[in-house]
Amino acid sequence: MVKANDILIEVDDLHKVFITEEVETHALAGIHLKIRKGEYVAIAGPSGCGKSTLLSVLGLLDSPTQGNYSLNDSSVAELSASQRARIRNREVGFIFQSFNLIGDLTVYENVELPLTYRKMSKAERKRKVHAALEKVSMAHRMKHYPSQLSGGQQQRVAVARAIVTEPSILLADEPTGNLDSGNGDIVMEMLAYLHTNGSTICMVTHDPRYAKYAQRTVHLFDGRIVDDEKKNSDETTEADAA
Amino acid sequence: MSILTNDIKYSFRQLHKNPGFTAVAVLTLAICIAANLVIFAVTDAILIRPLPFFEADRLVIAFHNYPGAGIEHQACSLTSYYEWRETITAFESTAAYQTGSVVIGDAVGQETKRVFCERVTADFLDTLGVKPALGRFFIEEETDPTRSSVVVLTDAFWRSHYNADPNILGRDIRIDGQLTTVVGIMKPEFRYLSSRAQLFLPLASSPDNRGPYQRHNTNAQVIARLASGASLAAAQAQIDALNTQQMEDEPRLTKLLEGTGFHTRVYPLHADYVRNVRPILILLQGAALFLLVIGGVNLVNLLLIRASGRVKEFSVRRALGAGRRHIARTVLVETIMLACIGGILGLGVGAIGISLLYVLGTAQLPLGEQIAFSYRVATTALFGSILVGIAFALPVTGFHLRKHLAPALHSEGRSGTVSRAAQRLRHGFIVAQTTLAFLLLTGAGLLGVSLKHVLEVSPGFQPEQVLTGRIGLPPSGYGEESDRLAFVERLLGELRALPGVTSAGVSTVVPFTGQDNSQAIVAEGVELQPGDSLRAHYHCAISGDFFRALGIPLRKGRMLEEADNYRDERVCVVDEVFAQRYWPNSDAIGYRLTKGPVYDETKAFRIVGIVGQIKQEKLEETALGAVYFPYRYDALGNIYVITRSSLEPAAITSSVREIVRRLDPEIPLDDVHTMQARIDSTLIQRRSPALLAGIFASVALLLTALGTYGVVAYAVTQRNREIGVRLALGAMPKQVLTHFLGISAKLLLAGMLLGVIGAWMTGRAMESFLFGVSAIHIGVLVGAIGVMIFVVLAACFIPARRAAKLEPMKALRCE
Repeated sequence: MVKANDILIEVDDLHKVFITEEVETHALAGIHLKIRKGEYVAIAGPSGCGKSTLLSVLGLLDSPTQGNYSLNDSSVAELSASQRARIRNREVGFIFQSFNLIGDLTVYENVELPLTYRKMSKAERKRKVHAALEKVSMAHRMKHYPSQLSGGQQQRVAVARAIVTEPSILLADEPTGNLDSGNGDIVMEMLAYLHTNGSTICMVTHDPRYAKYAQRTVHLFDGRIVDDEKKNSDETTEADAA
Repeated sequence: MSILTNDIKYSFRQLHKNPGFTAVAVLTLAICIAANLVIFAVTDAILIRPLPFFEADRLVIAFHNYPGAGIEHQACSLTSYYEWRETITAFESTAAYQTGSVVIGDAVGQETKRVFCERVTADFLDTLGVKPALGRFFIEEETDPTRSSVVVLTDAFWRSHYNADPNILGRDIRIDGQLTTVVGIMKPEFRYLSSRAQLFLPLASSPDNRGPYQRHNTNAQVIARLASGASLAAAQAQIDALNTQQMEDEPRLTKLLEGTGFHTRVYPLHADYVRNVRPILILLQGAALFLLVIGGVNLVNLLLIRASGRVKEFSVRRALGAGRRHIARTVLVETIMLACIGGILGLGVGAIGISLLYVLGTAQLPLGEQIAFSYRVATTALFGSILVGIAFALPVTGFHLRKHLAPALHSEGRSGTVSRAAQRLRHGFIVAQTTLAFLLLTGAGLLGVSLKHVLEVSPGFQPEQVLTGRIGLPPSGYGEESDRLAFVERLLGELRALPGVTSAGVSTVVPFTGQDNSQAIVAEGVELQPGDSLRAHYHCAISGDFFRALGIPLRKGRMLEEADNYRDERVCVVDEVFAQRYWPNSDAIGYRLTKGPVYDETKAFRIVGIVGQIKQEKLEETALGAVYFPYRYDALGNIYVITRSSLEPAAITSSVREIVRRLDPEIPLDDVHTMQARIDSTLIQRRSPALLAGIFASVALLLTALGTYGVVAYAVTQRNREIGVRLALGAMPKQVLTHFLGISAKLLLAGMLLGVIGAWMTGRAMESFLFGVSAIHIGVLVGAIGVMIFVVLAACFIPARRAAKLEPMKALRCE
């Protein structure tokens, strides 16, 4: 039984259609999904099944064509660009496959960036940036530029940037996709650690090895959820994936 | 060769494949090269090309200077000419000339015409190293005024008036009513500087005209050819020594010249002739080069942006074995081809520009008539285009060859955003462009404000509705003063009766004709103070309602009347500057003065009136003080008619001509202009540069706007993913907009800071031709800053807004 106040994300009959010239592509075709606070969810499936599209809609980077989406009990399906930006800044932390650090900003400045989009004193920003970098063990590289870091280090900085705002949910899109297995493992351990400390995580991956880090794995196929399995339990939770 | 042909074909294909880029690049180059071509055609004709005489660098000209008397750069004298040709061994040959005009008419009753002439000494052509095409030039004996007259015609005059008759030599033509024998025809290409002379006459003079006491009457220009191996300094030293010797030998002369600081200066003929326009032409050529640099920076930016899109292509070439030389050649062929296409188009645009220069009055500049679209100008432009092409190739080749530069200019491979090095390079270009455009803008502003200040200067009279024209009374028929006086009286009577004419007068000089009419004038009882000297003042002889016709206000006393020509008492009128100089604490009226360096009681004029000061040669001049005498006392043959009318001056022009023709059919009225037109013609050397600088500044602004737009638009495209990241992290659209506008604002600020420093330096360099404006003019600076802010931010706004409106997901998907 899921308590209403435990639900962080709730999407209902979510559709996303891309129209290019004469072709309609149904990237999401009626998704029903609930994610509870503190949950670690992996979204898995083959290429082109709609994993990243779902993550984009959940992160308010994209709008659904149809359907309802509530975040923290508030409907966010139809908001203005500025309102969506504000929610992204306060509620969502992104971790991208290609890190997406800004090349002409230092590590410190990259991590500080989301905090500069809200009203916050410099001292407060500094405290939070240091804390975030400490968590990913990159404080000693704060004056470096991204080009001076390895891929694994860059992704750790990206994680610090995602958590510095203390978001409600971390959305990770193939966070190990550009890393070797060693660095991939480190990043996954880091996400697991963050989850252990209370973070809600939703991660897209096509690697079953990394999906196992999550408590729950939602399988997509052709824009639909075809399976929703929980770790330590063989049964599919109907309440979570309707 | 076939490889080069392949490269050319490939480059052509590349340019054809990117019509947008090619069009922008070619147009930018065409505009910049055309601007340089037009100005180069002017500087080449006036400053660079040697005068069309044999070893023209050996030609010099001399001037007498009397700085203590306020007179500098004056013509020398026949006396000096005759003395120097005997004593100055540094001169191989010396000549003198006077510019004037004569009335020609081959037969009695035939319509006459006034034409310009040069009266020259016999060695004039030898000094220039020129020979006539037909016949001969003058011989020494023909400078004797008692000898029969001879004339040498220019080729143009010979063709236009005598249909190139080969039997013209030995024929008599009427000049100023006297039969004069044609002895020679000049070559078609011959022209002495910008002389409008159509014929040459001997500069005749009597021994009295050549005596020591005529040495300072500044009645003849003296030119010379330096002896082989002799230097300008040697000639100067010899003239200085001669001057010193003459002062020692003639104590009376020394006393007269006391305090005047008299000295003679020798200058290269060409350099001296163009000295007034040299600074402004150099400035304009600099402005045109700035424009080329701005356009060049734009194109280098575009080429680098384009190169970053072709990294793979060049990597493949290198992988297939292309060496540095091959890469460089491929790039070079493309950039030179681009520059040459732009250059050829620029030649066409430039040729049109050169043909339109006459609108700006460039023909009135010294040697301005030689400005033309020539083979030399075209070759220089094409050669310049190739150099531009090579210059463009360097950074692009460097981009492709330097191992570390290519990725730096492209993108950060793993972070997916643009590198600092690439941004710095492009930002540096924007700063450079902004700085140069700012300099052009402030320079044009200073010239504009300077022109405005000049235009605000009152000439001291009312030029509106005033028509002026010149009449030359020839010696035949008007040899006596009474003949000339009678003609003037009849003329004034007829003019006054003309409907619409409210006042009419005549004078020997009118303002703004470029005539130098200054002369030493001595006031009664005024003792020279230590350090002071004789002063030169403007003077002219007038009759009729000269002051009313020009609108010169009477300050005190009375104006001159026609009756003053016949009264026994010699009277004159002075202007307020003259009165203030000699009688600062008392009334000048009643005091007396004489023309010349020595006060002569028998020839003294009593001052009967004081009039307002007027400008004589240009609006920005410092007043010397002026004295007006009755026409009788300086009854020259050359007079100006001045009429003020209630009608438009053009409406009475033909009537005035008819009156003159009725009085004497052999006397033409020429040099007919409104007074305002005369004033306007003196402003050409200010108006044209200001206009050109304004055009350059506008084009520079346009190029800067395009360049800024291009770079910011490219930055937005290149940084799509970064924008996506920022949006994903919660940046609001307006924050993205502000981010990009902020970048532009920082670059703008840097460019303008450098620009302000540059503007100060440019202003200092321009000080010599500014009027009433300091090197740093706050209004100009503020205006330029405002325009730059508007233009640059407007150029940035479109791409910045596009960045702000990006969909985060689309932006993140961008590669």
